Amino acid sequence: MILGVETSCDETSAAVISPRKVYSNIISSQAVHVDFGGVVPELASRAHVRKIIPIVNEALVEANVRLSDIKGLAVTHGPGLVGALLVGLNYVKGLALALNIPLVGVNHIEGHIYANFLEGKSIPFPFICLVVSGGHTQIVLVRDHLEYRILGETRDDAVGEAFDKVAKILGLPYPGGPQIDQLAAQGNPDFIEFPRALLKSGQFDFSYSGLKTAVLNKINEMGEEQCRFSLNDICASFQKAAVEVLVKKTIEAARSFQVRHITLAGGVAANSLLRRWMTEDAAAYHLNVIFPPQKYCTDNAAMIARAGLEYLRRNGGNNLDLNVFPSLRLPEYQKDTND
Amino acid sequence: MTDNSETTYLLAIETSGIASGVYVSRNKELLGQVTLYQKNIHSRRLSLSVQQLLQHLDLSLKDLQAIILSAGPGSFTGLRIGYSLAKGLAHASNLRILEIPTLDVWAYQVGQTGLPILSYIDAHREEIFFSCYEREQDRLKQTSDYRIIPLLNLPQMITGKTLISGGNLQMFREKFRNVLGNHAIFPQVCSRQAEGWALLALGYEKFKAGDFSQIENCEPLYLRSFKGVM
Repeated sequence: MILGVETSCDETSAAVISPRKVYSNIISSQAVHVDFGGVVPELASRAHVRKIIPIVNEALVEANVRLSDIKGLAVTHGPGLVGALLVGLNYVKGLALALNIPLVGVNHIEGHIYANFLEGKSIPFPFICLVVSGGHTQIVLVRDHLEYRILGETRDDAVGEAFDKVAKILGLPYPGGPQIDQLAAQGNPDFIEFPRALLKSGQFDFSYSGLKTAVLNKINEMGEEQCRFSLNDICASFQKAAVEVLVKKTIEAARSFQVRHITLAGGVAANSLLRRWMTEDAAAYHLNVIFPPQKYCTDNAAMIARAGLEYLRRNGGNNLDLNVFPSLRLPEYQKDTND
Repeated sequence: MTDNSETTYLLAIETSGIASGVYVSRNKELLGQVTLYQKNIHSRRLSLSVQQLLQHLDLSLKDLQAIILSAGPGSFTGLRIGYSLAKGLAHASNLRILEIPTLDVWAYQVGQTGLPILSYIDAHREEIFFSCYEREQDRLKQTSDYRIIPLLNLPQMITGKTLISGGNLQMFREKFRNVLGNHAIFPQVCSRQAEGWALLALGYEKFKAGDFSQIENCEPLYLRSFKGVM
């Protein structure tokens, strides 16, 4: 059994898993950031220090195990907020030293990809993973376990960040993604034609800062009253523009690299339009789309533990001098002519 | 490797400032220490220092009775690294935690003169974290709260000759002279850090008094709230 710990942003999470089962996956979201309309790093770090032991204890109790039953430790060591990451990593180092068991540092994005492998599930290799969250927008080719190649990524804002910022502009509560999704369901997605950045670039990179600015300009142009009246339509139009680029590029990537399986990862993978549209377009090209269960899409420790398990199996653990890396990138395999 | 049931082994961790320090004592006696003075090294080296120091002393975590934490104020990140590591160690080894405010340590390590003491830690922006102490028989008695104050306001607090103890005294000596004139007395030897032997001594007293912290929710003494929210 593996204990996973995730503290890269504003969620303190701990999970106990085995290859076939998630025994517990406790996630504590920090309410304190709601008042600020976004995550305040110093407050996040302080909350992790207070919560880490209670959350781990809750995960152990729910799994009905003791720390002495744990055989390995996995912890997020990047990317993320440096102060927040340091709490999880150093707490886990303390456990590793005291229990004399291996610890492994996991890339947070890698964790999201491995949400697809929880509870004994798997995806045939190779597959394309669209990683979409508040901090990341990447298309990743996964050739085999722990073998990645980043095909494209955002050049500025992450798509989840665009959802949150647009929600803030529209006066919707934080986090804004689910709010926009809900309101968009009642709106006309063709009400405003927002730009689709880099859609026809022939590459797999994204850009979302222009879309956010376009929404801001439109809202200023419309005025407060008209904007309130058309709130659902604005949400639906923004969402359509944001999602269309994700879907088209992911499908294009799968076709270019002759990969048959596509999966989604990260918080935005819960977006209903993205799921629907990806399923429809993939079907048209006879591609298979796999969604991780909704509960494993947002930041959680089970996915970190699952990726960690793969490292422990193959490479063993890391040394105690493991550090955090706020801008850690996925480890990419050496490209060869077959790719 | 406990000698007998009366022996108390304590591990102390200091990460409030530039030093990444780990110390072990047997009763009141310092048995060994690892102190590193490199920037941004706490996260990489602190756990290794604990491991190696215990190995050198032929001790294991099971031999310890408690972990002493230098509680701050000081570097928020440094303090959190010390606290997080200690929480992991204590959680898995059923060790108890003793928190010692770092200003007490700075005062204790110069506390032999009989003068009133002001201990301080740089809070940046021309402010200091500070606390005041006076000698009462063989003990130091705290005569103020732990507070943060602009250096310029110090004369309101200090009205007589006072021994100043704190970090980076080379830089602060002139600042204290400017605001306190010859009321500011400085120790002959300047420490670079809150000293491990002093931290262990205060921790041992607290251990004897049974004044343990809750390992679940203990957190550093930040002293500076963040945007009004704590």
